[in-house]
Amino acid sequence: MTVAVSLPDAAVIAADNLYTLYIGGTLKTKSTAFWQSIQDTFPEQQVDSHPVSNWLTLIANTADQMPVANVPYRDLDSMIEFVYRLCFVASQLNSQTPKLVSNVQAAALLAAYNAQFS
Amino acid sequence: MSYPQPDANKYAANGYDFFRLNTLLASGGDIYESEQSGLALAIGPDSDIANVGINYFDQQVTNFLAELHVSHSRSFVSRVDANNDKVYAPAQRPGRVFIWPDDRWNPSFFPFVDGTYLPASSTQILETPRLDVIQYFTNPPSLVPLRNDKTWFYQTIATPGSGGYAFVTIPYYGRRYAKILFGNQILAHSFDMVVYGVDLQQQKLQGGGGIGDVGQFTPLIPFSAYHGLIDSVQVIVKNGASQPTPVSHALPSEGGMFDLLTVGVRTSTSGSTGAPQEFNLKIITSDVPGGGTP
Repeated sequence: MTVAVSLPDAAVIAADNLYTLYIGGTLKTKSTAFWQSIQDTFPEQQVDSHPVSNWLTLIANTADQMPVANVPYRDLDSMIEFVYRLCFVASQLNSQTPKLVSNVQAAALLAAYNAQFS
Repeated sequence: MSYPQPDANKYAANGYDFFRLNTLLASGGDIYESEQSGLALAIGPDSDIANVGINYFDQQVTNFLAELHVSHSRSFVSRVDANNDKVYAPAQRPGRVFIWPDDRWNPSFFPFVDGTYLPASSTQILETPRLDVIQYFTNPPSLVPLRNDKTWFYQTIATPGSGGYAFVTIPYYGRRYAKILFGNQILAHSFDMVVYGVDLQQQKLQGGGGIGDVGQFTPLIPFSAYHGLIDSVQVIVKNGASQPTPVSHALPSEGGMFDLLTVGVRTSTSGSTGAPQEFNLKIITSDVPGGGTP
């Protein structure tokens, strides 16, 4: 697994990183820990960051419904898609003017990704 | 538009019959929301994105989070609930309708030719896809899922010279037909042209091309075919295969629909100085396999 150096980088290496977890049988555990660790950084009342928290909602749902063992490939595919898209939109909201995701939020998201997925 | 996105509540409060989300994509992970329930969802007429994921509240399903997909060939005509007063489990976030492109997009995409990375002098016009989705608040009388034909026209593009290509890359999601018309602006010079169908991966390749190195390329007009172009040429892409006029080489097999089409033109390396030269390009795409509105 590879440490991501930026959120776009995290997006385009997510497939490899999550596949390693899938093979190792820890995809559910790591995905659950990921969204739980970062969700409060994007609170509901911060409407402009909803694109990030909406992907986290979908990640939470997918992780919750995923079995612990013998994870269907379809669940891995969904998780890859959601993490890929989450990282890209967070990067966009952090880099645009005006910023809708702060530098602190973006850094926290990248750190959470690397803590669980790399 | 993109972000911050428009508020669907204002459309409902002001008595509009629908909320139309019509925006260029801001990123490879755009997701939008509506706090309004609706009676139908459809791809809009100006969408480049062909497939859209929708999430909505359904108290009968696990975590109350249901998913459906609409496309340019299939709308959804029935009630889709937001239920803001309830929450999606386990995230415990209020119910709402999520709307997201289910086609892949990478704003850093850059093509390469014949398996090698481009010379540093190459350039690209990369057209950002448009997402057009309509959420109806009243029963729509009828829904025509096909999108408008779309014309991309570039009156003057200069090749970069020094062996570099000028690329034009357009969205092709779900399209079944394209007409590509190349025009030589300076008849004293010749050009080389390539056309690729591109499918985007969500993982960068290992060759060191970076975040935009995510394309899988199907040559529709390989380099060897259109080398030393003087006259204008028209290429028809039909159901994933190219049919150039006049036919001068074996046609590739049927390959299916692509995410993007990329057309690359450079000053021909045969018999010219390789200096920058001008050409024009017109591309028409259609949902109809034979082209044009049925």
